[in-house]
Amino acid sequence: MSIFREALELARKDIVTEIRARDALPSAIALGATALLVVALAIGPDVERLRSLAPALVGVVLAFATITLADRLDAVDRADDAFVALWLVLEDPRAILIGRVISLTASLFVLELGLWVSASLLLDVELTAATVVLVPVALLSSLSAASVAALVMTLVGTTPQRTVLAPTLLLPLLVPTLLSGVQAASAVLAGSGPLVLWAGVSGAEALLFVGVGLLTYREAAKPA
Amino acid sequence: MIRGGWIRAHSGMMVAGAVAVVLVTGLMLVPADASQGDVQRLMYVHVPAAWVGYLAFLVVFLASVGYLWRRTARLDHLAAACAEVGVLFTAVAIASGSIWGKATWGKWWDWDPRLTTTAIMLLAYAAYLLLRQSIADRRRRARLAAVFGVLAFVNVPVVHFSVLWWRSLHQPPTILRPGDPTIDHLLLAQLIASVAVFSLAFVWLVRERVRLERIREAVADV
Amino acid sequence: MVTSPDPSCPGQPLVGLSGATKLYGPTVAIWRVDLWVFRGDAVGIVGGNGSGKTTLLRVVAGVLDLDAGLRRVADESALARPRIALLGHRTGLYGDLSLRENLRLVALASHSRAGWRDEVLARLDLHEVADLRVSTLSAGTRRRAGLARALVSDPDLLIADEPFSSVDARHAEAMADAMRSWHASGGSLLVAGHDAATLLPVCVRLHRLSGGRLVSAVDSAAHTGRCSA
Repeated sequence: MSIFREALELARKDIVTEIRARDALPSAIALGATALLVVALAIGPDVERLRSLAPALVGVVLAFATITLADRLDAVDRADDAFVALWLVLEDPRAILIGRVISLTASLFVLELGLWVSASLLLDVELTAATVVLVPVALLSSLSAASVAALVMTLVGTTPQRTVLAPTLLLPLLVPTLLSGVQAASAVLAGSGPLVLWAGVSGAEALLFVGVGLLTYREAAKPA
Repeated sequence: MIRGGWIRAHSGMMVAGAVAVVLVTGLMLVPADASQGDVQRLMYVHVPAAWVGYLAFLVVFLASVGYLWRRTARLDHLAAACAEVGVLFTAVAIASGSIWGKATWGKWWDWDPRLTTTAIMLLAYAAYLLLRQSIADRRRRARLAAVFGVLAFVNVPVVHFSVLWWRSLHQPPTILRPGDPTIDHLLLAQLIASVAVFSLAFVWLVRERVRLERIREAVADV
Repeated sequence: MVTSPDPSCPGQPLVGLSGATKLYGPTVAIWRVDLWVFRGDAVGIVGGNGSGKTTLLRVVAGVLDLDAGLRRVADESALARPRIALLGHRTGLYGDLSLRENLRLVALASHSRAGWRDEVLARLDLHEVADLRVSTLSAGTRRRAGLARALVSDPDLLIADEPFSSVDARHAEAMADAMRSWHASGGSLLVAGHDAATLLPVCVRLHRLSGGRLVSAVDSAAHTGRCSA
C-alpha cells in the first residue's frame, strides 16, 4: 500500500505549495465569482432564468478552472525538474498520478463549493438542507474532472504549445463530466430528476479515466 | 491476365471510380424517398461517412493499444493515418447531416445530441492530430499520441449512447432496429453499396497515408 | 555477459550504453558512445560546452530516449532496477517547500533509511538553511541542496552534471567530500564537468567527450587505487 502513502504525501505537497504560493486556486475562485456576475449582467435580471442557468454556469467555470489548476500544478512539478527527480526514485511512478488526482479533486471541490456560495448570492440559488446533496455531487464531478485533467496535463506538460494544447485536448474529454455534473446539480436544485443516473455517470467516468490513467501512466509520463 | 502490380498501380483510380458510381446512383438514379423526397439522398453520403469515421477512430484505438504493447512504428503510422482520415470523414458526416437537418428540421444546427457529440468526437481527434504535430521526437510522439488515442476513444461510447441519454430530435435507428428494416429494399441496397465503397476508400486512403509516413521517416533517417 | 573494460574496476556492471546515438535534428548530441558504469565506480566525463555531456548523462539516467544504440541496465528485471539520482542543471527541488520538506518527500518516495537525511544535511553544511523555502536560497546553496536531494534518495548511481557550478570553493570542497565519502561507502558516481581538475578529486576514471564522441580515457591509472568494488 506504499503507493497510496506516497500519493497522499505528493498530494499534500501540491496543496501546501498551492497554499503558500496562493496562486491558482484564489484566482480561480475570484475569476469564477466574476464570471457568474458578468454572465448574470449579460443575461439580465430575470431571477427565474438565472436560477435555472446556475448549474450550467458553475459547470462551465469549473471546466475552465480545471485547465488552469491542472496546468499550474503540472508547471510547478516541471519548473526545476522535480518531476524527473521523483520519477527516478519512486518505485511506482503512478503515485504521482494518484497524488495529482487527489490534490486536483480537493482544489476543484473547494472551488465548486465556493462557486455554489457565489451562485446563491448572485443568481438567487436557494441553498437549503435539501441541497446539501450538492456536496457529494460536487465531489464526484471534481473527481471526474481531476481524473481526466491529471492525465491530459501529463501528456501536454512537456510540449512547447502546452497553453494551447491543454484546453484543446481537455475540453472535448471533459464534456461527459460537464454534462453529468450539470444534470446532477440541476436535479438536486429542482428536487427531482435522475440524480442517481447522473451521479453514476460522473463516478463511472472517474473510474474509467483513473483506470486508463493507471494503465498508461508510465508511457504518458516517462520523461525520455 | 491482370497482374497484382497493375491493380496496385491503378487502385486509386479504381477506388475513385467506385466512389463516383455510388454517388451518381445514390444522388441521381435510385428512386427518391416517398416522404422526404430528394434530400433523403444525402443518406448515401452521411451514413457511410459517419460509419467510416467511427471505424477509423476504432482503428486509432486498436492501433494505439497495439503500439503501447508492441512499440511497432507501423502501428503508430496506422493510428495517425486513421485519425486523419477519420477526421475528414466525420467532418463530411457532420456537414451532410447539417444540410439534411436544415431540410428536415428547418435548422442547420439543432443541438441534436448525436450530431453534437459526434462534433465533440471530431474535436477530440483534431486535438489528437494537434498533439502529434507538437512533438518533434518520433518515439515520444508515438507514445503520447497512443495514450491520447486510447483516451479519446473513451468518448466514443458516450457518443453512441448519447441518443439514449438525452431526449433527441434525431431520427431513431432505422436499419439496425430489431425486425424488418423500414426502408425500401432498393434504397437499402444502395445504402449498403455506399457503405462498402466508402469503406474501400477508407482502406485505400489509410494504406497510402501509412506508405507516405514510412517514406517520410525513411527520408528523415537519411 | 558484460565484462569490465577497465581491470581496475572489477565491480558488477550497473548501467551502460553501447553505440548510443542521440540527434537533435541534424545536430549530433552524442555519437556511438560505449560506456559502462560499474557498482562502486566513479566515472568523470570531461568536455566543453556543447560536447554532449548533458545529453549523455540524461541518456544514462534513462530520462532521454536514444535514436540509435542501446541503454542497458545490468539486471533487466523490474525489481532489481537500479535506483538513479540525477542532479542536472536544475536542482529537482520544489521552490515553495523548505529544503527539509523537500528531503522528507524524497526520503519517503525512495524509502531511504532513517537518519540519513540529517547526515546528508550535516555533510553538506545545510542545517542552517534547511527550514527556509528553497526559492529563497542563493544559487550556490540551491546547488548543494540539489546534491542533498540526490544523496537522500540513497541511489545506486548518482549522476551529477557540473555539480560545482556557481558554488564557492569552500562549499565545492564540502560537496566533493560528501560525494567521496558516499562513493567510499559503496555508491557509484557519474559526474560531468568542464575540466579534469574539478573532477579528479571525486572520480576514479575520466573520459573525454568531444563533439558527442567519447574520445579518450584521461588519467585513470593515477586513481585506480580508489576503486571500491
